[in-house]
Amino acid sequence: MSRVKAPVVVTANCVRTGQVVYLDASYGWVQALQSAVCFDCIEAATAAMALADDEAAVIGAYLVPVKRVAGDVWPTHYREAIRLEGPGAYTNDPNRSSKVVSL
Amino acid sequence: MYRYNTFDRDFVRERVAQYRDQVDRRLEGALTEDEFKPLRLMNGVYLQLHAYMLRVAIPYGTLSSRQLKGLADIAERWDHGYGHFTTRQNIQFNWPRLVDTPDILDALADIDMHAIQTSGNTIRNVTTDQFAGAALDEVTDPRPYAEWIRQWSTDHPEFQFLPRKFKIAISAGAEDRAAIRAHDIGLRIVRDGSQIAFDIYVGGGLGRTPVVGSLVFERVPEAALLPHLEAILSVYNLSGRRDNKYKARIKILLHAMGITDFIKSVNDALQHLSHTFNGAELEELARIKQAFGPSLLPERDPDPYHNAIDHDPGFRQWVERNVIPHRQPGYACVTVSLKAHGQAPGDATAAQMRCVAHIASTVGFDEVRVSHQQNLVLPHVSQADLPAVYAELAKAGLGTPNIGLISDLIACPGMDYCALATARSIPIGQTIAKRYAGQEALFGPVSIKISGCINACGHHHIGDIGILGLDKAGVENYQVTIGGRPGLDAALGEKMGPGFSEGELLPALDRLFSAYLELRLGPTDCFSEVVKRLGVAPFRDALYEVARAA
Repeated sequence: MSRVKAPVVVTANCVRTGQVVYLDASYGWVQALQSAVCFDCIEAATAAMALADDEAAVIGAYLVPVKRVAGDVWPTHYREAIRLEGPGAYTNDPNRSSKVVSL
Repeated sequence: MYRYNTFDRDFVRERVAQYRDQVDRRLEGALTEDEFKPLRLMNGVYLQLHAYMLRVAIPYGTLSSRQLKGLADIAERWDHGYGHFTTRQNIQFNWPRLVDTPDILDALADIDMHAIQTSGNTIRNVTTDQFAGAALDEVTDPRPYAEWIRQWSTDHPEFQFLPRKFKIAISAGAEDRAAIRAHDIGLRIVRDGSQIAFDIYVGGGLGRTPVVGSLVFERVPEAALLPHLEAILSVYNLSGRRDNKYKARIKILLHAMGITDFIKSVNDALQHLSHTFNGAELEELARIKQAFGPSLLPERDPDPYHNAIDHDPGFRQWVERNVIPHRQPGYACVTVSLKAHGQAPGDATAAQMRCVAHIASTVGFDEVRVSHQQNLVLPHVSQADLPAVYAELAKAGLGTPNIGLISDLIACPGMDYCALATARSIPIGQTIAKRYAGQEALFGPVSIKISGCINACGHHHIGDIGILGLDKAGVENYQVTIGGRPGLDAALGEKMGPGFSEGELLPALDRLFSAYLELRLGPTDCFSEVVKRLGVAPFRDALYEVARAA
C-alpha cells in the first residue's frame, strides 16, 4: 500500500454481482469511475476505504492510482483500465485509447 | 457415454442445496468473505476482474448434445451469451452474478453436470484424448478409466485439502494427445501381453516451475491402478510442502525426495491399502465399461462425400485440415474450430453450442468432445454426412479449416478476465491469427500457445512458439520461447531473451517466420522439425535481428 501514489480512487467488487465498483463522495459504491471520489492524500483514502469497506456489500477494496485529464480521472495502470473498460475494449495504441495515461 | 445413476444425482443435488444456503448466508452478512471464499471455490465460483466466474467440469471432455444445449441455455440466461472452453477441457462462464450461481448449479444438475472440484487443492477434472473411443491408434478407450478415477477422486475424504491442486491426464493412443507429461500424474495405457496396463508419469506440470513428468511406475496392472493413485496421493498429501504454495506441487516433492525414495514411499503406502481396495472397485469399473462399450456404427453409402471432395474446394480444404480417420472405415472424427480468425480462442456463443449439439444429436451419435486445444470435436461422423456437417458448421462460423495451423492457437483468458494475469493474451492471439490468416497454409503446422501469467494456463512452455505475457514496469511485455512440445517426447521451450512490447511482438514474429521459410528444406519440413534439427539459435537471431542491428 505504501507504494501507491496519489491521486487515487477506491475500488472493489460488488458481492452480489461481482461488478467493479468505486467509492463515491458519500461513501457509497458506484459503477462509474467519473462519479468516484478522487483522493490526493493516501492516508485519507485509506481511512475512507476502511470506513466504507462493508463486507456484506463489497469484496477486496483497494486503492487505484489515477491521473486527472481534462477534468476526468483515468487509471495509470493497464490492469485498472481493463477493469474499467471490460474485456477486449482496452488498447494500448495511443491513437485509439485515451483512457490510460502514462506515468 | 457414462450416465448418472440415482446416487450421482442425489449427491449433486445435495451439494447444490448446501451451496444455496451458503450463498444466502453470505448475502445476509452471516458469512464473511474469508469464510465464504473456500465454500464458493469448492463449487467452482471464482471472483475475476469484472465479475464472478463459474468453471464447470466437463469430465474427460465428453458432452452429450443435451448437455451442450444446457450449457448454451445457461450462457444465454445467466451470462453474456457465450462460454469459454479451457485447456483443461472445462467450460467457464465469465459473467454470472453470485445471486444466480445456485440456480445455475441447479440447471447444471438438470443435465447431470456440476462444478465440484473445479477449484481448490483437490484432484481436478481428469482429462484425456479428445478422440478417445474413436481414434485409430489407441490401445483401448481411456474414458472408462477416466470415469473410474473421477468417481474415486470426487469428494475423496482424504484428498479435499491437498498441499496444492492436482491434475491427472490419461491417454491410450500411440500418440499422446492429452499432454500427459504436463500433469501431476500422467497415465499412459499400454498392452502388457493380453492385459491392459498403465505407465504412470509423475511430477509434470507447467506454471512457474515447469517440469516434464517422469516415468515412475511401468506396466501397472488394471487392478493396481487405483491403489497406486491412492498411494501416490497419500505420500504427496503427507510429505508435500504446505509452507510455500509455490513449492507445493508434487513435482517439487518428487525432485526433493528423488525417484527412488519416492517409489519406496509409495510402495510402503501400498502395503496399507489392501482393505481399501477389496475388489468392489473392479466391479464398478466393469459397470462403467458397459456404458462405453464399443459399438459398430452403421455402414453408409460414401458417395455424397466423394462427390463433395471432387467438386467443393472449400469442403476439401476443411476435410484436409479438420477431419481425421475414425477407427471404423467410412467414419471420421471432426474437429470443430473455435478459432475463426479474430475470434477469442475457445469461445463459443450459445447459438454455436446449439449448432454443434444439433449436429451431434442428428448425425454425431449424440457425442461432443472438448479438446485441450480449446476446440470441439464430433468424434463419430459418417463420411456420408460430412458435406452437410461442414455446411451447417460454416453457416455458424465454425467451419474454419485451420486445425494445427498458426491460428489454431491456445490462449488463456489473460488479463481481459483473469485476476491473476499480468498481461492480456486473447487480443495477442487474435492479432496473430489475423496477421497470418493468408499465409498459414504456407507455414504449415505450428503451435502457438499464449499465457497471460507464469501460471501457464495457456501451456506456453509446450508450444512450438510460446508467448508469456508479463508486467514490466507497468507495461505489457511478452517473452517468447521456442521448441516446446507436448507428447511422450515432451520438451519445454527455451526462453529466447528479453521480452517484447505488444508493438514489437508481431514484427519479431514476422522475422521468426521468415527465418523458418528460409531454413526449411521444403513445405513438408514443419517448424518443429526445423527447430529439432537446427536448434533455437537461428530463431533467436531472427527474433532479435533488429535490436542487434540497432
